[in-house]
Amino acid sequence: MTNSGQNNNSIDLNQFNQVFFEECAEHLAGMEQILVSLADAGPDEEQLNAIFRAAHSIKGGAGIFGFQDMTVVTHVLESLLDRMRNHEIPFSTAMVDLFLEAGDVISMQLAGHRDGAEVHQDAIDLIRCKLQQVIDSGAVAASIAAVDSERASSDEAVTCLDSNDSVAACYRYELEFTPDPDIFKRGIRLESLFAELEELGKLTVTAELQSPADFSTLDPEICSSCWHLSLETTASEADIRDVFEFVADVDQLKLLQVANHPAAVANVPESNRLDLPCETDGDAVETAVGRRIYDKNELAPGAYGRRTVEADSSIRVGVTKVDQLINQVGELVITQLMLAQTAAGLDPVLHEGLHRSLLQLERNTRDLQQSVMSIRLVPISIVFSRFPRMVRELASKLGKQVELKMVGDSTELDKGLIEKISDPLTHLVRNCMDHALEKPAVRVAAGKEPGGTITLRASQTGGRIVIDVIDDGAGLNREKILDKAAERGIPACESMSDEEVWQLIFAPGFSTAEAVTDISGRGVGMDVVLQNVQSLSGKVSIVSEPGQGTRVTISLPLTLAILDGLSVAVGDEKFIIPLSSIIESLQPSTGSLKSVNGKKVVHVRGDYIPVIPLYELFNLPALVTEPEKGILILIDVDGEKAALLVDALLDEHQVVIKSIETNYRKVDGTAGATILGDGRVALILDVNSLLQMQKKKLSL
Amino acid sequence: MISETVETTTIRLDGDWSMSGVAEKFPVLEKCLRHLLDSEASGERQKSPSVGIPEIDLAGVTDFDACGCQLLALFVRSLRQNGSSPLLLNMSEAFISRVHSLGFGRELNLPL
Repeated sequence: MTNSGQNNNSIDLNQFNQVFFEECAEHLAGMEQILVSLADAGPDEEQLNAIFRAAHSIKGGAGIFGFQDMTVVTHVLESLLDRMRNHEIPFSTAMVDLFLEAGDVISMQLAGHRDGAEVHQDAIDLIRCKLQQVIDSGAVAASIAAVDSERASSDEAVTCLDSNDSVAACYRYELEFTPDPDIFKRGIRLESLFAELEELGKLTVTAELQSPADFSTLDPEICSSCWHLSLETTASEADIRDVFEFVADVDQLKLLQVANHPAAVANVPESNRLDLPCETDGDAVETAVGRRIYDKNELAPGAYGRRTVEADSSIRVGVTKVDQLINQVGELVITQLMLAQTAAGLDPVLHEGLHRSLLQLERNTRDLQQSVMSIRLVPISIVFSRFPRMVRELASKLGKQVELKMVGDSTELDKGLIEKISDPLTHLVRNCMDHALEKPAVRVAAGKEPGGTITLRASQTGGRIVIDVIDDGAGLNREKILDKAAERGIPACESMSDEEVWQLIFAPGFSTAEAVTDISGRGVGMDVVLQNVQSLSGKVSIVSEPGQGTRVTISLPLTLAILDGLSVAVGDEKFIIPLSSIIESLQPSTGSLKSVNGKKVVHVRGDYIPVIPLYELFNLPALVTEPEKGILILIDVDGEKAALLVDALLDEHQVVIKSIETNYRKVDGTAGATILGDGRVALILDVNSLLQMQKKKLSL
Repeated sequence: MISETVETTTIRLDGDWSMSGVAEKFPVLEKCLRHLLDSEASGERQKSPSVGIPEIDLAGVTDFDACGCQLLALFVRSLRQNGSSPLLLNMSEAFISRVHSLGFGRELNLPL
């Protein structure tokens, strides 16, 4: 593996390499997205151009950053795509798999450079051969089969026919190259450029001088010549354009493609033949080519693989820097709160100007915080984009027909959450594929369409992101789950509600699958899903109808860095309760308070809601111990309601979440802490955990 | 840089004839061209056509690129336009090959 990019001495190229790695991954993802979306009809022109652009950009970047090994596969891939764009080679459905395989190999090479992962040269050679043979023969299925059978029959390294051995159409290209006058000053060495062209075939170069009127007025560093080049080659236009990339703009390179070797052309299948007039016709086809010519419709709306104008004007910033910025803004918010608190004690008439300025500061600080927080938000499509291919491959493997629908993939959530939610979602989709969706025959027998549907739906509801994984499969089997629970000694009974029964599948090792496959069925998955989601302050809920399907809903906070909360007082302490959990707050009348089995409940609109005195949970000396003298805050945790008893409501804040565990230890019932305007630390309550604590306490 | 005999005028070029060196070389060529044109104007060469045939000795050229090649070609063309047909001398094979690869072979009238 070569990595000259990393060995360059004077400049630290790592930061640039990182940019290349990220862009390369994006190009690969974009390419895969298009490939997976292709129907039998094959790609349209825009899709083909987008795939080509992706391959071309990867190759160009790899070349620039010194990852020469990555240009090998991309070069052949790009050549094939170019011939497809020129209608020299027709599309076939087998090409999708071939291109996906090529993408995998490039990903492997990328991982090799980026992460030091193992790179299998065999795989590189194999895919290169497959692609090359398609180029040479123009018939994909036969070529792939030939290479595969050759591979299967021997473990020896796959060797590829040299391009000289293959019978490919040979063309003569007439090029007129009028470089930028500053080309010499830019340090571009034309001798290297022409040498590279010569590698493609037989090259003849003629310079045409433009004489100045007077030699003495000449600027010797300005290029005043143009070049006429004649190249006989089997290479494609893309190959030639590549040589001029970063050297010539569109208008600086003209290219005439002339069919030069009729015999060679005759050997190319009729369907694949490039229909170009011969030189003898005297009507060579002029193609305006040059750098970025294939991007001529770059700004056309709605095309695949195209970056928007907004993306083009973006810059890449390290996550660490963004986090640092967020922390600093968090500190600024706290300082602003301190100022506001100090100013609150000052006479508003005497200090009117100060109060006005502080209000302005508060607005600005909040705007700044929101702007900064939005930097960390990324679309969930980053995660969703992996599923089309996964579903396609699993469907093929399992003999199922599955349509994947993705809704709301532009929904944004925190980058940290995105990274952590991808594994749980992958588990859920695999489970859908393996267990939930039936085989076509079974579905038809059940009166359903033979093909099943998996829907991934993301949306923002209030301060939370909700992700649904919905299938129209067989639904969860209540009896089977209860039987399995009994078998595994998990407490369960017939009287449990459906919702409670579905929760059993989150038990570690729980699986109702009859066979353990390499896809799922080991019972490792749903508990991991729950753990991962809960670690993100999220919730998982399940709704299932027998024969109709299942919906698994993951609910996550929008971000983990700030929180809208209500500060409350309990004794001398202050707590923050997340606003998203609060239904309402009320001061109960004596009549609404009851005692059920010795437990205090409050009667609110027909519901009896258990009262949780916070002072009891946290062992605090309280000023208020009677609910009717304090305030009850009604909270909702996964549909379960509770009323928190506090002394008083203080204020509503957007608080910056600070970890307690980093410097202290985990405190039960809390999700972190924040610094208030008066400089005091307030614990942020984890209402879910509070309920568990209360239940545990009552059960003792 | 310029040495003259009864029969020839020899211009010796040396050093770096690449982009990084042409700015230095240009004044020399300009001076040579002016000198040759002045000789022409004085009628010295018209008296005997064999006198002062410019020869360009390239033995001392150490580096040479498209920029230098263009400058040399323009210089040679200027000489031609003024009635002189310069001869290029002491060209290494590498030099000849480079000139051809850059497409200036015909302009400099080099052997293939």
